[in-house]
Amino acid sequence: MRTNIFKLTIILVVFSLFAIKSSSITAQVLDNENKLSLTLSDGTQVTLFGKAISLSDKKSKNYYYLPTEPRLSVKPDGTPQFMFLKYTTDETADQGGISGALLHMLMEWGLTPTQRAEVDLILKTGKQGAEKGSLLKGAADVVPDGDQSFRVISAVLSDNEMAPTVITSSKAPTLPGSKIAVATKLDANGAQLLAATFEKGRSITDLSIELGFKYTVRMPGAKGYAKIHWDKMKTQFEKDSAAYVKGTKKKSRGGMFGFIIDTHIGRKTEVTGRSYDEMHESVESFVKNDFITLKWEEGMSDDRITKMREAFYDYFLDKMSNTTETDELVPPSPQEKEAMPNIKYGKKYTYNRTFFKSNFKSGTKTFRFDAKLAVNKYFSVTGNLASWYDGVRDNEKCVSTVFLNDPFFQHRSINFVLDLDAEDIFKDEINYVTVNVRKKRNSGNDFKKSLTIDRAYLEENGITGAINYARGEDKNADVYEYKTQWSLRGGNIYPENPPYQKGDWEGVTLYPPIVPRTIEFEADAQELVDMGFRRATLQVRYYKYGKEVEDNISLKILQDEGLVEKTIYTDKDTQGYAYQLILTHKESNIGKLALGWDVKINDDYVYASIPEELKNEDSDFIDKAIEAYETISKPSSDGENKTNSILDKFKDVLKIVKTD
Amino acid sequence: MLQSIQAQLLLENSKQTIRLKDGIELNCYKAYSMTTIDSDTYYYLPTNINFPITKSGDKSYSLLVYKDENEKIKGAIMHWLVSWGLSKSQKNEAQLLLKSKAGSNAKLMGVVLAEKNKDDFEIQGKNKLSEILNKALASKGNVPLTPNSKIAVAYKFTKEDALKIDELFHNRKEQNETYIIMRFLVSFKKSNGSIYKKTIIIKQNLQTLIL
Repeated sequence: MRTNIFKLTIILVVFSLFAIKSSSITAQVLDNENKLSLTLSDGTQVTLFGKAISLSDKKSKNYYYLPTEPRLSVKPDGTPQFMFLKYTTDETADQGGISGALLHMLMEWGLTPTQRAEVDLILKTGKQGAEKGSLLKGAADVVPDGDQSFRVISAVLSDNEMAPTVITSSKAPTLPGSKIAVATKLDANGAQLLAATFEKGRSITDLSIELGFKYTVRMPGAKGYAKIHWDKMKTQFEKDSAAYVKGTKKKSRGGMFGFIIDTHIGRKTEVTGRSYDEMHESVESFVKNDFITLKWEEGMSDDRITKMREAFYDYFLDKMSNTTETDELVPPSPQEKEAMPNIKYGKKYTYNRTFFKSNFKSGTKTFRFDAKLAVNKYFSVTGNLASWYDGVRDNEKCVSTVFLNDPFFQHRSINFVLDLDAEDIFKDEINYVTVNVRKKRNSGNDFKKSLTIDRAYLEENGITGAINYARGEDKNADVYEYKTQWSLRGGNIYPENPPYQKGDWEGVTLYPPIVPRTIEFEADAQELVDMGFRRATLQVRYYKYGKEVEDNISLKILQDEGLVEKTIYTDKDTQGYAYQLILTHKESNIGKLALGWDVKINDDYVYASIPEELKNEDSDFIDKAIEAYETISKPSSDGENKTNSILDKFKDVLKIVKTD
Repeated sequence: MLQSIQAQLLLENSKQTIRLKDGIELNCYKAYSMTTIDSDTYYYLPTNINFPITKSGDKSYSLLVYKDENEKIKGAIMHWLVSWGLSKSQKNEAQLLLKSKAGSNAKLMGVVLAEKNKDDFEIQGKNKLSEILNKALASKGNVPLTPNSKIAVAYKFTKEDALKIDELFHNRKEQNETYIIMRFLVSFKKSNGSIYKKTIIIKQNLQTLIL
């Protein structure tokens, strides 16, 4: 028996029958039949695959390892790349304070140099199932398993309130030593809760990391062979030919080979093309009668295997026949469609006479098919922070707390409060007040800001106002300074050039430069009327905005008015005012009498006391009073109001400090 | 384009069931091999769901009930790492048992390399603990396809459930009626050569995991 072996070993990566996107194929294909699972001395599980040897079932001694459990990355100085920073402020949340934690860690997978050396030794010495002399070539080529290849599993980190921000790398890293990051900002509760799971005594923490990968392995896909027993076929053919020659006289084609004999013996006029189905049918009859042995085994359920099966069958048929395109539009058979999805018209098969003739001498001929497929496999590794946390727990570079009291970030409010009494003054005397604040900085970039309070401001914000000051890098310990300027009714500004005053971090009360005084002026109206007076007037002199001003408060005694009130606004740094009583007599030759100036200190009540001299109608006294009035009612020779001098007489008593 | 993930192919009619002395049941199947004729190599289906032991010697679960400043329970969180598969000694025992059942040439190679199954992890049970656990599931990973690898599961309990979880989680009856389910997809070959995929479900009650 002659065995002509046509061995067709197909590995999908080189199998050109099927369209495969080259981009999806990795250069490194691992052998699924050559797997090792090692346990290292530190408990690490390592899975390795031998490299698939092209066009061979031989097992390679070159191994590649799958990703190991993730671990914390380490800086060159040995510091783990992990940070858990708890922070808080002295202020409560209501006061603008914050508390929480930042967690940031970098992780990677891959064997450490120590682990790698251990794997090297295991492979070299042939332990744990490895063949002696095996080598670790490196990490297996892996790809991330879709968009969810990197997962953070945590109750705290999946809570939007406790962990409002969680940022992670998007995909699992494909190379050992490549880093992946998890960064999160936790609120106070989240920080405490996560920290509690870090504590000693906890078996695991509430933070696990999962990495999902795919790797490519070569797997046996399908095997098949077709053994054609040409010797048996020849015997049967010759038997059928004899029967055919005999049968043609009866116009009948008998025997198993009747339908191809015309092809073989050249009666082309009788030959018609065979369809794919007819060809299958005839081959099946060969198989049934043991002229052909067909074996097909599949190693996996895969669409590609179905196509391979058809391709193998077609290859075999093509060897037995000539194929031509039909001259008629014949629809393809289902099998043809499956094997050739783009086919539009069926093929026409005629038996290959040469093939048959030449092979009748062959004895037995075998066609072999051995296909291996590259397939992706899923693999995941999961690590819990507890495995790494013990190494960082006492490392201040990794786990620490901070009070957020850096003066750089300090914002101070400079508060101003308008004196309660001042609110009324805004109605009568003041348009607005402007406060200018200055904070000297050593850097020279002084802080300056102003605040203006007017009636609209008061209605909207009340009597308080604030200016915020960012401390930044200001190391000048001096307190801020401020100056106040008041806009007065009538368009005047007071003071015109106010000096800066030292401020107070506790706040500053803004006192208007004037204070109200309600003067009560009372007299015995009847007594005065009986004495011939018709009006009593209280003439008051006081300082307002640093200048002496006069006001008159009159009692209509004829109308029996005994008491009158009037509010005057005096400078706040004076203690009182000067006053004199002016009486108007009904007789024109007497007229107005000025009874002389006196002073009131912190006493706003004035009673119109009638001097005894006046009661006694002392003419000297009356003349002097008349003259006194005439003096004050006439302008001085230099045009200045001579009243300026009145308050000067009482300066010591009033303790006036004139600001201008 | 590369096709879907493939796994090992088991011969449907080659099942051998063995029981380890600690009660773990193993279903072993001959692996179909195109390169070896009539192989005696067996693979076992995933089994033995467990909480792996941490380096500190504890089982890998953590329940933390937290309280407010008035010592009143405010909530709770729980984290699990769940694994499956045999330990080295269990595998050695299984190897011996397989030989005694399937012949001296039978070799237990390890666990079958399964495929990912949809809904691969589930808590099952009609009791209160199961209900609360299902409600509180915050995040979870994927069931690993390699033995002794882990899936992480995180729970966050509301205040209301946190009041009960500590008691329920440590209640033997509740533990016993709460099942952890894992699902895998395994390929089998029938005797007529056809290939099919079957969902393999393994389950374990919480009590067994905790004890």
